[in-house]
Amino acid sequence: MGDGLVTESITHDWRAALSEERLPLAGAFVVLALALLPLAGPSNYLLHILVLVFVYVSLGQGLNVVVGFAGLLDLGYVAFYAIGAYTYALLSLNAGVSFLPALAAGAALAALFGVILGWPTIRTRGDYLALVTLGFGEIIRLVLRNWVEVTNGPKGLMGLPAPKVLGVSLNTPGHYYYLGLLLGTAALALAWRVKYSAVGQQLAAIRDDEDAATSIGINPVRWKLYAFATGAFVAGAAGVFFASWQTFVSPESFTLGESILILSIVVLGGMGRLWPTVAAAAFLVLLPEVLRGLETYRILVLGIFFVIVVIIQERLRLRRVRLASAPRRAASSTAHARDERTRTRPAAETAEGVGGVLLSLSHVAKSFGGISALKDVSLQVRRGEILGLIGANGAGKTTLFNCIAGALRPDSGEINLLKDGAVLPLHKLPAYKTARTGLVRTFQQPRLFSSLTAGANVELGTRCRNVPKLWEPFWPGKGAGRGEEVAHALRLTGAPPPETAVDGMSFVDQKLTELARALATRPEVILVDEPASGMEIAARASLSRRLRRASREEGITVVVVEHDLSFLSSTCDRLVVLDRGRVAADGPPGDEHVTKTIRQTYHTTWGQDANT
Amino acid sequence: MSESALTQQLVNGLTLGCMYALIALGYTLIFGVMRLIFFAQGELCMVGALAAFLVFGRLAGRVGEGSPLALIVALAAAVAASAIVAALSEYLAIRPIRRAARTKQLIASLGVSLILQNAVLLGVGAENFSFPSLLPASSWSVLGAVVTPVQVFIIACSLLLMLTLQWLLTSTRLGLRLRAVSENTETAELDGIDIDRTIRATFVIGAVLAAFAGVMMGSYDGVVKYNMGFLPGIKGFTAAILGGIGRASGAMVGGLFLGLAETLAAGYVSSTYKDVIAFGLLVLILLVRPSGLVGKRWATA
Repeated sequence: MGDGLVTESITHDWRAALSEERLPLAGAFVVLALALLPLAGPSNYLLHILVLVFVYVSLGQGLNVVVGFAGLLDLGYVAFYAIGAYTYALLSLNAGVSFLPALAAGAALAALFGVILGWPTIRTRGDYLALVTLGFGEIIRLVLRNWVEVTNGPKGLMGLPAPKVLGVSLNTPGHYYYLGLLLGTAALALAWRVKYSAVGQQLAAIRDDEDAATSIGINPVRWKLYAFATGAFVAGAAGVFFASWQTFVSPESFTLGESILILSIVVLGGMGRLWPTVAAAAFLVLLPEVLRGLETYRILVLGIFFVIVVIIQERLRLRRVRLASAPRRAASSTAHARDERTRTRPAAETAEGVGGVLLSLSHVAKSFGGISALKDVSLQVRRGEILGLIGANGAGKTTLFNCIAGALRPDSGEINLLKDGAVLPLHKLPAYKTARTGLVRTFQQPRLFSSLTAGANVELGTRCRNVPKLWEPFWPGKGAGRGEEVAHALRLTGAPPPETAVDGMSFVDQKLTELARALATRPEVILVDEPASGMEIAARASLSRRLRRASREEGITVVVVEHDLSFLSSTCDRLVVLDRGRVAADGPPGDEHVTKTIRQTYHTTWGQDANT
Repeated sequence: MSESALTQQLVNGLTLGCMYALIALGYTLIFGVMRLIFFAQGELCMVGALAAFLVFGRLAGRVGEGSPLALIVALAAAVAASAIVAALSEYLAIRPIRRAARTKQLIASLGVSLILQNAVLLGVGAENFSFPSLLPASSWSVLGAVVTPVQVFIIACSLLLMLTLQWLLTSTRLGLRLRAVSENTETAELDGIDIDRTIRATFVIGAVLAAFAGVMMGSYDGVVKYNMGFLPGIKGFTAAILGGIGRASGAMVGGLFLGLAETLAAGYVSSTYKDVIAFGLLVLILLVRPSGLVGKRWATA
């Protein structure tokens, strides 16, 4: 047993030293070793193979940004590689443009194509991207084959000049080796910077749960397009280098099989990881060199890889979730225990901070097919109050939240936020813009970003209006000091500590973390959907106190949906009863009319005329 | 071009469109029940067509080309092979990852497509095999256009299949289950619907349609090959999007629209770039009508 522990701690140190965040340290060693290699007098064949590895390392990292970080499937990645290669060929042959300007042009042109292709697709239906890119890859190949006047068709373009940098012609295998090493290192560094920056966090959020991401002000189209164009940029640069190295280009280098090879580098590398992707690139390039006979089976083997790797990853994920949730279930009352530590005075009984109207709904209606979920809802929420929404299942509570938060667009009616003397028409805004006006929501089933820690989830909340700049991975802004904000938000709701992983967190802890994430956006209004469901009585009471405290201390207006009347009575200043898409009653908790209406609506909906 | 040439283009486009529509239906049904784009739809066509070719080769001499029996034997072989392959693929590759992230599901489904294509390549080689003529080689003249029995078979059989599918979806218990799972998998499961069985049935229905499309493609082009399913696969998907994915009627409209657009583009613009035009259309539709030509259902899912 003791040995086991020691081994474990050693491997842990070893892993930490080689962890991805410390990439420069390990990376510097690897690059240095590779840079010294030519001194050992390797054969030209070995140098050639290694240059090929470098090319695929850069392509793998470029596609990793798209598939691994952003979760977008690009099946025509090779098209961007081809654009880079043909840019160099055409510019150098026809206009005598030298290597570095051509490199910039090739990469930029590929990125531009990425934006042109990605924008319509990502903006509308991201899940079609796989087939749109597949089609695009074929289009580029067909154009290269058939546009003979420019591309010389299937024969390709030959006699490309060797790269010339600062007047020096780089044409020996050693020169190419160093250029390739530079390219691979640059692509790896780029992927590393993107991944471990605020931008990488935004991408991870979108990949994990796009709706949750928009609910805290993240614009998915912007970041997906960013990832897609970054990937295209890297492929374009790799294409320029490839063309200058081969000294000729032909459409046959840019087939679908090539796209699939690059994709399998990313899949085998664990989708989103850095070193394993480098290793996968080396493995897949070297494999056919070692086993020549395997060439015919290559794509079959890659197909089998795809299926098996994905199944294994899914099995591991499910096992991780099971293992992590088992011991924690016993500890799920920790939310309550944590509460006792930070507990302060009970909240004031009266709503002294309540001010003018902040959120105004007038005649909001929404129907799905023939079912009208909201018939006509008019409602005003005053600044600083805690408003409870109650109603039986099907009363329209969640639909109302979805309409206010911009996840659904109401069929008719207006929803306005009155802020700083201006009227913001929320019914016209998409969800992420609504969140940025200062109105955020939580979900009935908590929706956290499952690959991130509790702290990273909450940190994303703090970036709601402080949107990362496009160049942030390479030029970090003044992002320091978020740790305190994050810790504060987590303390406010009694959520688990920042380093806790989301996978396997108890249901209650997930709800509290989600609430902390929403509070971290520093909202004016927060819509909370069934925060107490699944909680035991003591935890409910503590949550009620925390909500009141957050509202008073941070000046946040709260709208909360619940079925638990006693929870609502102890939390809210005012209750609104919804009944089949209309406001049925409105008044303080304990008000006779309100209580009576609640009893009636729950009875009628569950009684005989449930289907009306 | 003359009027008769236009009629000819329309007939050819309609023929092509029917085959696209059958493939599109497979995509749409599977997308409906599990929000997955099952890439191997085109490969299932190929499997069906090759099975028909191989079985027919075995029976050479015993069943005459052009006899009704020939057609039935070919179709039966195609349907059986394609359905078995689809059911196996679903069981081995798709079921274990039903709850995995979308990207991973797509990668596994791409894997299935690659495996099928390359296993067939290793099995039978990269040759063009000439497909038996299952129908008599005569032709009719209709409004100046030449119409072959193959074209009549394709159009009539596609219509029949679509009507059968419509009946299956609206009037049988299986269709009810399938629509319930499409609407809401969790609720359907709570209602006691066997999700595994329904999804498997959906894959098999898609495979049957693909097998018919495969035999049609073989009969129409006269040749079959290991990678014959690739382009029709993408085109079928394009058709599914054109019509609004998740809607059976949309897939039919999308298929016909794409077939006509492609044929007319080849005839009047450039036959070299007909595929480019088809994909350009896909991007254009995503730009202006992301929910498809027909309707809105599932468009914002």
